[in-house]
Amino acid sequence: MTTASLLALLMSLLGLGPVEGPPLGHPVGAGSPASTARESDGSDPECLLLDDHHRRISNGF
Amino acid sequence: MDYQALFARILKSVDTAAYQTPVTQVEGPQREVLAEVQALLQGPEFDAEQARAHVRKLHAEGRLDRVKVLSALHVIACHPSVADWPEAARLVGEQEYAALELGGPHLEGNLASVERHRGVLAFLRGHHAVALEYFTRSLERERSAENLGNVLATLLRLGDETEARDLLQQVRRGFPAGLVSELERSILRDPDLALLRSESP
Repeated sequence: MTTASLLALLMSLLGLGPVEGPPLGHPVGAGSPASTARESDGSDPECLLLDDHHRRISNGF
Repeated sequence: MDYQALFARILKSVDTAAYQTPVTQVEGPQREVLAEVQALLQGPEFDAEQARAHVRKLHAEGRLDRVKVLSALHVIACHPSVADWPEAARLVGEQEYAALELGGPHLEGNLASVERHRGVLAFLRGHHAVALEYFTRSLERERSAENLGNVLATLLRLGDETEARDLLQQVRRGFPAGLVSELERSILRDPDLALLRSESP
């Protein structure tokens, strides 16, 4: 992950500005960063980061 | 720049936002009480020990029954910053027994909560097919937008996009309008369900 992309993600998360490309938590599916990570040799740290932490779920009481 | 700290901050934000703990399915005065717990879970200063102590205090005061106490403790155990999986598994077993002992008019809802918690645990441990079974059981016991959303998110996670779209169409035709509206809002809001947005009316 480059510094520029890291900062862009941070800006987006903090609501400070737009971010180019898909945000963290982008859905898993054809063409998504996570699926790209699975299809690649697993060497892209940014894609792996997205996949590992893409765990939205609803755990209502 | 401390990149590790920056990474940790980003991932904490993402994980916390990705872990939803709605109280909408809870009936009666316990809903308001659990909303207090929910606020602790979603707050920026979340502290698991404080949250557990607060839950036990609510139980001691008679404001939460044993089923909901165990549910709340499970929800805390599954919080991204806690991730105490053995504890979460133990608690959901206790919750099931407590629900059976309590019985009464809320038995189905309480068991739906148990199935949902088991599904969440399986999902978070990467067993998505197992999670789908539990979420489906929870949905059978309790038709709610939350349970539907979990089923759809898990189908998409498994790569079963066609099945997810088919289910969504069936839901639109056969489920109550209020529930469908709530689900549509989830699809528009939730990045995990974004693949279904093209199906939105």
